[in-house]
Amino acid sequence: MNANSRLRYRPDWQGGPRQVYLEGEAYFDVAPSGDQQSFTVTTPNQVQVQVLATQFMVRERARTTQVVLKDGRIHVNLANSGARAADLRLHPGDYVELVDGLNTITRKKVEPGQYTAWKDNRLIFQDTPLEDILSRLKYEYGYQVEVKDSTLLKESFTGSYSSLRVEALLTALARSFALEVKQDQQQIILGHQVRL
Amino acid sequence: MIKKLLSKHPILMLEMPDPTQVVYTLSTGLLLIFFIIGLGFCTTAQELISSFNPQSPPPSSDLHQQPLSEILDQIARKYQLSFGFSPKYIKGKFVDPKILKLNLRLDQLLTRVLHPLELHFEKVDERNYVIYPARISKLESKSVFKAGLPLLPDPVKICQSKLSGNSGPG
Repeated sequence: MNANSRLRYRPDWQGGPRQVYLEGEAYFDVAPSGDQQSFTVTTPNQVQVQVLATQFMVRERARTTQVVLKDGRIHVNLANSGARAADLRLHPGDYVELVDGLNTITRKKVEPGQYTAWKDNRLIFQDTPLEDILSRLKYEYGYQVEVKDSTLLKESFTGSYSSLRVEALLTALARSFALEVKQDQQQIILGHQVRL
Repeated sequence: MIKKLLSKHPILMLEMPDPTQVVYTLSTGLLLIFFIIGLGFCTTAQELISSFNPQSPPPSSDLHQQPLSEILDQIARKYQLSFGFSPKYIKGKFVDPKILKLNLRLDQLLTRVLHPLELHFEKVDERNYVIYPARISKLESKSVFKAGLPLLPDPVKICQSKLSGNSGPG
C-alpha cells in the first residue's frame, strides 16, 4: 500500500470469493487460491477489478480511478460505477482511467514500472503532466501545493527520483520550467515562470 | 642533321612532343589532382560540421544520427544516473552517437551533447541531473528615433549575467 491509503477486508475470510475495498493506492500480487476463487478490489466510486492470479496496481485519488496491469489478466467491472462500459478486459501493460461522474474512459498502453515504482521508493515520471506530479505530492506527502500560473499544469516532465527525498524533484521542476519554487514546511508554492 | 633525320623518319616526330604541350598537360593533371583532394576535404569538413550541428534532423544520407532521448538513456545507463527534463525540449533533436565513444568526462560529454542544441544541464544531486533550455537574455536598445537626429548608440555592459547599462528609461 502506498502512503495515505486504506484497505478494508474481512479478517474472518475462510473461503469463497476474496473481496477487498481500497481507498488510495495499492499494488496487488494475487496468488491463486486453491479453489480458483476470484479476488476483487472495489474502489469508492464502485469500480471493481476482478482477477484470479495476477499483479496490478489500483489508484483512487480525487474521484479518479486508475488501474495498471503488470502481469496476467484482469476484468474491470464498471457496472455500478456509472460509466457506460460494463466490463473491460485488461492485458499486461494496459492502463485504464475512469473519472467519477464522467462517462469517459481513458485506455492506453504504458510501462507498468513507472506506476509501481513507489514500492521501491522511487518516483518515475514519463512525459507525465505536471498536474499528476503535483497530485502525488499532495496525496502521498501531504503537501498543500499552490500553482501561480495554471497553464503550467499542462506541461509534462520526465525523470526518476527517490521518493524519500522530494527536494531533488522540486529543484528539477524549478529548473525545467524556470520557476520559483518555495517550500515551507507542508506547503509548496510554484511561482510564475520567468519569461526571458 | 636532326631535321634531316626527322624528315627521313617522321615517326620520331610523333614521339617527341612539343615542350609547351608537356607543360600544359602536366598543369592540367596537377589541377585535376588538387580538385579531387579539395573535393574530398570539403566532404570531410561537411561531415564534421553536420556531426556537431545535431539540432537539425538527420539528412537522409546520414543514418547515423540518433534521437537525443536515446543518447541520454545510454549516458544514464553508463554513468548510473538519471536525467529530468520536459520532453518538449528533447523531442526532434538528434546527436551523432560517435560522441559517446570519445574519451570524455561526464561534464565534458554532456556539454558536447547539449550545448549545440541550446540546452543546459545542472547536477541536482549525486545521481540526478536536470536538462533545460539555455536561457538567452535579450537586450533591447532604448534609443529611439527623433526627428532629424541620428540614432545614438546605447551601450550595455554584461557583468556575471546581470545587466547594467547607462541608458535610463525612455
